Order: sequence, then C-alpha cells, then structure tokens
Amino acid sequence: MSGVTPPSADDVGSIATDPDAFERFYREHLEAVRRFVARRVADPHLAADLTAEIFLAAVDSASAYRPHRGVPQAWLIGVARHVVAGEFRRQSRDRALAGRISGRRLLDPDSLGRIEERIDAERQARQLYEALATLPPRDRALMELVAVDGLSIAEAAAVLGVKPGTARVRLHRSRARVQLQLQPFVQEVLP
Amino acid sequence: MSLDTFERNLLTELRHHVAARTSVGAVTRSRPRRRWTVAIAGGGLASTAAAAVIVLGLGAASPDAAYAVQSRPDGAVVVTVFDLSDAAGLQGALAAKGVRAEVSYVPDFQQTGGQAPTAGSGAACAIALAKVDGGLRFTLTAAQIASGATLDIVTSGSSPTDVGSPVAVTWSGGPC
Repeated sequence: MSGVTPPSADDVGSIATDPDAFERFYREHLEAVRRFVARRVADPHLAADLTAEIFLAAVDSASAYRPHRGVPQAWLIGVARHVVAGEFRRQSRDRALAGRISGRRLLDPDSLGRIEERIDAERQARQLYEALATLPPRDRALMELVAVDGLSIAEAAAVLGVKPGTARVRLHRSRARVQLQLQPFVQEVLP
Repeated sequence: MSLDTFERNLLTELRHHVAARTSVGAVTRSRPRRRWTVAIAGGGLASTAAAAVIVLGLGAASPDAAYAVQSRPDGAVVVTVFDLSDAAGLQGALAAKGVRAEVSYVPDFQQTGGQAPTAGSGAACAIALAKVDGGLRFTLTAAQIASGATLDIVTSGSSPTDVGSPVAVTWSGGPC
C-alpha cells in the first residue's frame, strides 16, 4: 500500500472500482478530511465514523465527479458536507449513525489521541462553524467553505454550484451580518 | 503521508469495500432492471420551480425504456425519466438534443443542500415537473437550451435498488 503516485482528476472515476486508485485518492485527501471533520465535531468516536462515511460516500458517488466543476478535493469537500449534514439530521432525530464501516471500531488508543489533538487544535474553527448558524443555510454553506475550510471563493462556488460573482456577493453580505461577533476572524480569512 | 493505526485499518476496510463493490456490481449488472415510479414531494401532480424535488420509488407499471427524450416543433425538449440507473445514456440522449446534462448521485442530498435557485434565476430558469405514466416528465424550453446552461439531475440514490431518493432537476450556469 505504499509508493503510490498522486492521483489526477481523471483517476477519481476509478476509485469506485480500483482499490489501488482508491488508495491513492485516500492518501492524497485524508488530511483534508481529517481537518474538515475536526472543525465540525468534538467527539473523536463520531469523527472516526464520519471519516469512514465520507470516503464511502466518495466511492459511491465517484461517477458524479466532473473535472470542469472543480478539483477533486473541492468535490470531496462537497461530499463531506452532505455526509456531515446527514449525520446532524440523524442526531436531531436521536438516531445513531448506522455506517457500513464503523470507524470507531477501528480506533486504538494512540489513534484516538491523535484525533483528540486535532479536535483541540481546531477549536477556534469549530466555534466559528457553530457561530455561523445564524446565517441562512446557503449563505452559511458558502461561509463555512471559505472561512472554516479555507477554500478559495472560486472553489467554494464550484462546490455549491454557484457563480463566483454570486458567491462573492453572498460572502460580503454574510460578513456584514456576523461582523460584530466574528469580525477579527472573518476579516483574517476573507479577502 | 504517514497513517496511524486507525487510518491504516480504515484504508484496508475501504479497499475491501471497493473490491467487493466491484464484484457485486459485475453480478448485478446482469440482473433484470427494476423500475421506478415517481411521487411528487409536497403534494400535487406537478410543481414549477427553478429547483424542484421529487421522490423516486420502485413500482410496477412503466414502459420498457428507462427514459424518453423528444423534440417539439417549438424547439422545446420533453424528457420523461422512469429509471436513473443509465445516467450516461440519458446524458447522451440529451446531448443529441443540444442539452448538456449531468446526472449526479449525491449521498444524503436534499433540496436545501445547495440546490436552491441561484440569484437571478426566475421564470427563465423554471422547470415544470410532472408525474406521468409512472415516470417524471419535464420540459426544457428552446430558450433554456440555447442559453448554454447545464441541466443538473441530482439524486441521492447510488444504485437502481435505492428507493425513496430525492431528485432535483435544475439549470446551472448561463442565466441560471
């Protein structure tokens, strides 16, 4: 499982059928998924489950990837958004995550500790994520991707299927809306 | 990048999942295809919106073809979908009519997940959905097709056997 070459955009479609292509994809994008999850959940066991679910969902929807709509990582972030949103909906209905691969079952003490360290390191981003709940859903999604996940405006626009100009207008409006409580952080991450 | 024990174990399980998925897919492709019927979410037989959501479910009565794409004399294209499992075929049929379309499987898709009408969209981007003969029918106007927008058909189902999958049909790009 080592010595693999980085994936190209053309390889994404094959991650659903080729374990080696999937491994390249996994190694290339695991760090982005780690950070995405740690910025949204504070429970390391849930973080492990969500990591597994995000990659499973990527495998299941790989055929939907379109290179002209964005780079593979932006597409994967879009998939991750749907997985995490689905989990939050399940939590709201008091239902446990019923994943096909239980991430928490694979945890050992050292790995659990590393996830907890990442969650601690992302505390500020997680506070920002939670504070954005005051925004309308589509504005919040855009703000999350840019301010919490560090995507460019063009990348975030591609994830959400909107024009970059539209995204820029929405971000300007959102920044004004949350200016009082988030001004230092938002001004730092938004152009 | 270096992986910890959890990440190595997860990679191993995911590799097995991909391998098993491939072998299962090879078997199921030879089985008779199950059919879908359509129920409009939110009530009523038709809805008009720039982004509209329906729910597909398994049913018995539908024509043999998975979809039908027909041109009208006024330049509009009428699409009837009974089955979204042949996404490439549907995209090809639409392309032959000048419609650039993409069928996407998005896990946990819901209308609020980025499929709301974009700013500036309105009647020019509206798509009317209707339940007809056990399928989903919508009409794309000549102006919409000529605008260069992309038709997005999104379902949360990842296979023909997934049921109850929300489906949205929207335009993106161009004036939409």
